[in-house]
Amino acid sequence: MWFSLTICTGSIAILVLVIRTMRAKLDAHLKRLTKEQNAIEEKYLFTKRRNKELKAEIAALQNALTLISHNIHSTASSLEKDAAAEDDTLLISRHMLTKGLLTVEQNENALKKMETLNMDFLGTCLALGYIDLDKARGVVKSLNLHQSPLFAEK
Amino acid sequence: MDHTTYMLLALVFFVEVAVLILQQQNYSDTIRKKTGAVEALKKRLGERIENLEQENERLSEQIDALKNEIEAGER
Repeated sequence: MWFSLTICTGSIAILVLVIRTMRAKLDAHLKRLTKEQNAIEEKYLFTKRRNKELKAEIAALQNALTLISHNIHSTASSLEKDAAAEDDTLLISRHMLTKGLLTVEQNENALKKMETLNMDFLGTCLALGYIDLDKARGVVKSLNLHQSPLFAEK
Repeated sequence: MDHTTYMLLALVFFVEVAVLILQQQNYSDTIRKKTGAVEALKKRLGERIENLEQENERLSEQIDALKNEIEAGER
């Protein structure tokens, strides 16, 4: 009787031991799989985050590029405006000299004072009293200077 | 040992074997399910990761080109 009881107890102990070993193996396997799962999820999240960062960087760079191109255009257009204004000045000065509205001395003086007074050529001549308003309007009309403030005036 | 004792020992042995088989099946099932889930995730996310990596490469090239353009513009 005692012998059979001992065998039963021994076999149950072995059974428990085997089940524990199996459980430990299962846990190790599950742990490895979970680690693999986490690794791939992390990689995905990292790649996604990197993608977002790159997109944001591209947007910032495009903004910077737009600003730079705007600056270039505005510089170019201001240069063009300056050149046009210079052309108008020369045109008006030549016209007034030819028509005898100004003397050479007055012309040179007006050209010099333009920057100081911060006015256009006709305005400077008016301010210096070389010509009157009617003559200025006549010049504007004969040269067809649309951009001049005197062009619209009657 | 008499006949009854033998019978009892045989019964205990069969019960233990049955328990072991059930445990083994249960564990195998758990592992199979988990492996399947991980493989599916790998496949699904693997494709996305590959696409994202390709896009990232393209975006990096675009960034380089933009930087060059900006440098040229600043000069």
